[in-house]
Amino acid sequence: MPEEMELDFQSALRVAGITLPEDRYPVMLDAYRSYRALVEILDEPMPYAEEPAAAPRLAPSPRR
Amino acid sequence: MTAPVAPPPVPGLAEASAGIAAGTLSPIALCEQALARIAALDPALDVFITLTAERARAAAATAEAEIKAGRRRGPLHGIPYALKDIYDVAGLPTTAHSRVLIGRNAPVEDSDAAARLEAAGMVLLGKLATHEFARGGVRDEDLPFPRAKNPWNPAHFAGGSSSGSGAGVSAGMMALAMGSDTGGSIRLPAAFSGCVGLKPTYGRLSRRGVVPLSFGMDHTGPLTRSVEDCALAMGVLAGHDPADPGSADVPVDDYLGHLRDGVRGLRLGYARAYGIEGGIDAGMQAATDAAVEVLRGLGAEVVEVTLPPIRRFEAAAWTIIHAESFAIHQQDLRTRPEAYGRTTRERIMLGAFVTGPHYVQAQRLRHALTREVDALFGEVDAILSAPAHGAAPLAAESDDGPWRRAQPITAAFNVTGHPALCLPAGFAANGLPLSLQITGRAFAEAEVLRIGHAFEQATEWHMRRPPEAYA
Repeated sequence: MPEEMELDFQSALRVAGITLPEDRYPVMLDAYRSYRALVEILDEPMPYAEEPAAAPRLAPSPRR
Repeated sequence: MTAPVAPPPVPGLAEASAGIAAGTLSPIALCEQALARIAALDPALDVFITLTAERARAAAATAEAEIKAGRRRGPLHGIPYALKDIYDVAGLPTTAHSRVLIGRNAPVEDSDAAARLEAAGMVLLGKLATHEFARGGVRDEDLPFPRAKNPWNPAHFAGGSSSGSGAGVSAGMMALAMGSDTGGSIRLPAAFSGCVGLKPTYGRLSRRGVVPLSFGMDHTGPLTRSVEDCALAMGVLAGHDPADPGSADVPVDDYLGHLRDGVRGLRLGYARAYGIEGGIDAGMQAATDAAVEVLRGLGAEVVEVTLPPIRRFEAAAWTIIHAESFAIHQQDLRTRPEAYGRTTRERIMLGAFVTGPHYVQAQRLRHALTREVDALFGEVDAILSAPAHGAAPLAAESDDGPWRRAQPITAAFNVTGHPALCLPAGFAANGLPLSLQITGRAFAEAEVLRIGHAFEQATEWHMRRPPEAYA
């Protein structure tokens, strides 16, 4: 659904608060489509145990 | 006006160090040789953004006095070096090759790398061209400084983003330049310019005082003319830095101690299919095959290994890089997008398309890929692969769009964080350098350098010098 994809693209730009020169719109839309195709891989399910290293620290707090 | 005649290339780190130790080479003379070579070649190559000639002369004079007084600090004392212009040096501007930072970034402290190299007594020549914020491309008509040119043929891409570092080392202006590598930005300039580039393990070298592109994917590292020089530099650069949240508190190896141990007894994995999947050309394939045979001939056992599919690496790499770089630049992209060059602006803007769940999934995938590559190191001691699709393309034909049709195949090891070395491994039919990539276990830089050194000693690719007809 190319129209939906373009609406998503416009929405992402609006949410991010960035604007494009008119002549670069098609190039960026094409880049958006390419990125969306790439990250279909990221929509595949992963086991719960596959956790990113999200801990903010790996050492104790300093003592007084 | 014609440029002055170039003196010979400066000697490598090991050669210069030996000369200074023996008293046959003066740091002042070495600094003047480097400055004269820069004066002769830089008008054609555009390697430098900021040349610090007077500072270098003063530092060389200090080094010479200290050494003569018997206070030699170590093997790199008195030898010139240069920094990609994303490394802070107190009192010098850091531009990141961008209008965005001009007049706005006056560091008062040295980056960790600069502090270590200065403490070792090295002599800073200046700050080098990069792709804007380490993310732009070849296109430079809307940037404040020209792009660095490839010394082998200035019409060709010098690789990026550490383009000035690779070009400067290859052109013999300095024996050591620091670069950074988020998706291949040390290794590709090394490959395209025909020198040695090491992306160490994530966390091995500090990133403190280096303009970030992607916190989770940025690596700092050296570019040199030989593997031994790379080992010498790592001996000064490596170490834990508590001020860098990504710095690993892991003991530092002796990078020179086993450099000459050879490859006999090692089991090397050749990721041949990975290069084919990545679309490398016939010349690159032939050079990589030949390099593998050299290592086999030196006594290594070589087996083929299968890396995970490139698309998985790319999905993780570019989601993380896009999101993190956009997070860093979003305010400037909203308020003064015209301050960026078009290529940089559009590439960083891709981060606006990354959703929260995709960023988290990319981090989870990164974890899985790291484990899968780690598992290969249960079978082999290092992985050999092609680092690029081929030799450096023509600059005029380089892909400067926001979405590159062929992403760098080096990014796999930014995702996993394993150390990866690129070194000269042949020449394409058009006379431009080709390279081999050697990837090792996490924190096994010493082993990677050992393999690289064995290959280097068995070949003559690293001894060829670029033509100087452009000077």
